[in-house]
Amino acid sequence: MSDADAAIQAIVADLQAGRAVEEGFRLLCERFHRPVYRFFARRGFPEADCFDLTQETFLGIYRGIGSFRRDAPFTTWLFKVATNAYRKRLRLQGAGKRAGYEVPLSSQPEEEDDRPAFQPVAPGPLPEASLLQAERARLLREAVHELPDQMRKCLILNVYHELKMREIGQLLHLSPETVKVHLFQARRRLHKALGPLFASSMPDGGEASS
Amino acid sequence: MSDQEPEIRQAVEEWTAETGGAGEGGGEHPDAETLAAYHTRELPPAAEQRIQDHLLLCRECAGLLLDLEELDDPDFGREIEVPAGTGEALWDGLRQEITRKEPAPPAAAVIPFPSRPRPAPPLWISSLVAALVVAVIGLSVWVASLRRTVGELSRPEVNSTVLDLVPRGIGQREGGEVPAAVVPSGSRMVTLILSPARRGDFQDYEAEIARAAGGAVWRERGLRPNDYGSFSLTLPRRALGTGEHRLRLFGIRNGAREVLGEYALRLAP
Repeated sequence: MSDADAAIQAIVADLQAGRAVEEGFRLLCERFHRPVYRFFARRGFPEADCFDLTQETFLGIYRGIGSFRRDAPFTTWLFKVATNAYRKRLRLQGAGKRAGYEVPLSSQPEEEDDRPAFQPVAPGPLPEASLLQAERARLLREAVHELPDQMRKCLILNVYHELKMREIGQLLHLSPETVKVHLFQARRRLHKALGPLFASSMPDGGEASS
Repeated sequence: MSDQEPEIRQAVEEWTAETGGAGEGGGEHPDAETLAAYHTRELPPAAEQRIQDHLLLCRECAGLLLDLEELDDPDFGREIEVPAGTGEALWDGLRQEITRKEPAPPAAAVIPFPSRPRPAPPLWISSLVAALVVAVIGLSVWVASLRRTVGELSRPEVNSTVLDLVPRGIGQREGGEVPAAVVPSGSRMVTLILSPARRGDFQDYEAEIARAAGGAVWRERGLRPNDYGSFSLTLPRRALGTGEHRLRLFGIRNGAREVLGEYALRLAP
C-alpha cells in the first residue's frame, strides 16, 4: 500500500469512527472530485450533469461510509458508488446506452438537405472482384473463429474496441507483453488462413497501438 | 498498419455480430459490485469468463473497468477540463449535508415525564402472594389463640373440679347404675380420678375419652397408677366439649389392650 493509499485509509478510518468528519470529507472531496467528475464526463454527460452526479457520488460516500470495508481500496468503493449513480441516471433518463443524448434535428448540417433526391449508383467492383472479396471475408471470419480463446479476445479488443495493449492487459488480467504476442500470433494465423488470397504476405506485428 | 487491417477489422466485426451482438450487447450488464470484484480478481473462474465474454461485446463495461483502473490516478482523464470552482461548490453542498442539524424542540414546551410502564406480574406470582397473605393471617390468629389458651391454663384455679369416677359394673353389682359424673360448666380444669374395675400386671396404661355418640376426643398413653392403684388425669375443660362422654381405662400387655374400667362423664354446657 502506498503512502497516499495509507493516508486515504486513515482518513476513512477516522470518518468511520466519527472523528474529524468535516475535515476528512473535505480532504476526500479535494483529492477525488476531479477523477469522479471526469469519470462522468467520459460517459458523455454535459457539465451540469457531471457536477450533479459527482455531488451525488460524494453524498453516497458520506452516507455509506460506515459500510465500507477497509480491506479493499477506497477507489474501488468510489467506483462502485459512481457507477451506481451513473446507471441510476441512465435509468431515469430512459436511456440504457452510453452517451445516449438526443440531438435536435435542427442541429444537423444544413447541406444534407441540399442533396438531390436521386443519386446515381456509384460504380462498384466487378463481379469477379466481389466474389473474391466475399470469399476472403468468409475465410477471415472462419479464421477468427478458429483462434484460441485468449488470442481472439485480444484481437477483438484491439480491432473492434480499438484498445491499446496496456488496456487489453488490464481488462483481461494479462501483461502487455502477453497481449502483444497474442496480437502478433492472431494476425499471422489470419494471414496464413488466407494464404495466396492476401495481397501481401505477413503483418509487421507492430500495428497495434501501444 | 498492413494492407489487410481493414479486412481483419471487418471480419472481427462480422464475427462479433454473428456470435454476440452489435457492440453494446452481450446480455445484461454486470452490476458495479461484480465489475469491482472482477477488477480485484475475486470472482470464480466461470464468472470471470462470463465477464470477459461480456467485455468483448460491451464497450460501456469495458470503459468502466478501464476507468476503474485509473481512478486512483490524479491525472486520470486530464484531457477533460474540470470547470474552475467545481471542488469548492461540491464541498459547499457536502458540508451543508454534514452539518445539517435536526430542529431543536421549543424551549417553552413542557414535556411530561413519562411514567415508566410496569409489566404485569405473572399470574402465579399473584396467586402465591395471596396465599402467603392468607397463611400469615391464619398463623397470626392461631398464635393469638394459643397464647390465650396458654394464659388461661397458666392461671391458678381455686377449687378446681375433682371427680372420683366409679367404673360401670361396680354400681350394678350394688343394685343400681352408676350415674354419670358431671363436670360443671364454670370450671377450666377438671381432675379425674379413675379407679380400675380390675387390676393386673400391665406394662402400660391408656385412657380414652369419647363422645357417647362415638368419636374419641382425647387419648393418652403412659399413665401410671398411684400408690392406691388408681389413676389421676387433669384435663382442660374446653378440650372435651359438652354432653355425654364415655371414658375408658386400658391396661396394655404385649401390645394388646384390656379394658380395666369404663366411666360415664357428662360435661355441662
